[in-house]
Amino acid sequence: MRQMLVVVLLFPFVLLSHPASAEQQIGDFRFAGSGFMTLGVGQMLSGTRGAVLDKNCPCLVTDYAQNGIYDGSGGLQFAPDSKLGLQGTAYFPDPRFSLTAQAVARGSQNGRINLEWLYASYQISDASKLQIGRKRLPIFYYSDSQDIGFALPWTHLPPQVYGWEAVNYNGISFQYQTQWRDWDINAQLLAGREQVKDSGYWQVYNGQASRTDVQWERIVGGSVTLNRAWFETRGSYLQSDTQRNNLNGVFNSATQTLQPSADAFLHNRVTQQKIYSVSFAADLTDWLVRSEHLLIDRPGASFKDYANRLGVTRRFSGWELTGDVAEYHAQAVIAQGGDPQGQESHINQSLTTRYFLSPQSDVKAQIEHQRDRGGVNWQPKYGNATLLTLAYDRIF
Amino acid sequence: MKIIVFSLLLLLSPLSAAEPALAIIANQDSDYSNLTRRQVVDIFMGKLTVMNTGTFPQPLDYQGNPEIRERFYHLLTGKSLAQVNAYWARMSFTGQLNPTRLLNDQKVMLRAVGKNQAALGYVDQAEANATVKTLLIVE
Repeated sequence: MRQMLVVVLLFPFVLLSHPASAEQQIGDFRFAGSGFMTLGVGQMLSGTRGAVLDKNCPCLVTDYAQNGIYDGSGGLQFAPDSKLGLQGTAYFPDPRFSLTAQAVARGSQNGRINLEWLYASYQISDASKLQIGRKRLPIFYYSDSQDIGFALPWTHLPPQVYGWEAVNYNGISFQYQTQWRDWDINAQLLAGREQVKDSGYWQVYNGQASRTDVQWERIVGGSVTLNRAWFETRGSYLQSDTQRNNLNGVFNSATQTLQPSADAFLHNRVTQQKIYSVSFAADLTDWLVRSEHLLIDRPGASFKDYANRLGVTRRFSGWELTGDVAEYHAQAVIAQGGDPQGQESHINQSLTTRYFLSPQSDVKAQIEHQRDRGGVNWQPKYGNATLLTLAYDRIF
Repeated sequence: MKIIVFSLLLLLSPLSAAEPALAIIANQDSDYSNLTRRQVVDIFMGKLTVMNTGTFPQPLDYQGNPEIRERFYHLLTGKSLAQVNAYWARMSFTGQLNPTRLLNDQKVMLRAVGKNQAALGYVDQAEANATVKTLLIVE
């Protein structure tokens, strides 16, 4: 209820705001302010009924990192996809320097305001840039813009691909833009670390009352985007040491209480992960076809993660239609004791219509069906779900 | 019945009237020579940030949603202003590109381009005057 109140209170402010970023000059300093918001609402239509952990299902997780879940509690649900973001940038007298902060309040986090971005930027040349501070991890194609509904063709990201325990990092990044023959090239290198308190991701798997902290150390990686006329491809690689600390146990469905977990990976065992992703896109003015593919390899672990998606968008005058198929499956590593019947797997098919109300706002309607293909020994098994979501997006 | 069918056909048929041409303009003393449509698109979409001459182009755009802005992106990219804004939302809210400087109207555009050797702008072809250099006519 509290999250709905936050959204309702902020909504009129956003509607009345000027549809362009505001600028203020104070002496030699220039300040620019802008923002984005999504008012999302969903209704679970059907699915596998029953209690899963401490949730009353059918359930569909739309945002793993932020614990955004539509469940079977009935009625309209505003929290999982609603959010409001404000960004401010200070430009220094030396035009090479700027400082940017972005805060986001999410319904899925009870309206709590999180500082998502806070970085200083130094333009080394017009082709290269150095940024230091808190930024988004560029794991997936839409990672950077995952909160900005107006930049996305869906009411929420396909959770099969966009689901991992950390999305930000504190560190340093170097960006370089150039052209080679007919190719536009954009490359980024980064290094840093991240600490997540009360991980939303682990609440999805261990229950809403569970508390797990996550630490990623020695993050190193980068991405390269190649663009030529209508074709674009992007590849990224990221590696880090990972560590989780479960503070109060995991939810036991049988006893309906939190019980200590025997999983050593939830008790500070340090492991390494290597994340590979690649995407391809064909943008033919009226048509946009994009695919994304992900592999997370953890040397020594009993499974590997694979995720894929394929989406087709047809652009019409003033509106768009997008069809998307996304799947996630974990593959057991038998040599490490992995159970082929104990792996998570699900596929999501969605159809989204988007109508532009103005050059700064849109409304979307999305219907999606998720099918649980997890092994018989896999828990928690959220089951199948059919969900209808509506969203109003605006930038200002 | 025929009137209804005719009215519906009128409503559904695309508007065929040609859109007025636009002039891509630069400072008279700049080292920009003729630009291709592709170069103009890349500069205004933040993909081309340095020219072969070493000049760092500074594209200038219009504040709000004026008709000329809608026409510019439609002529050059085939996309609506909303779709271009969606692209820019992704770029500017994620630290990838700094937002383009926005100006009030064509008179301000002509003055701004006239003062800045790296600036690139666009005005209606009829508005382009001797204070600026026309690099490309887009129609």
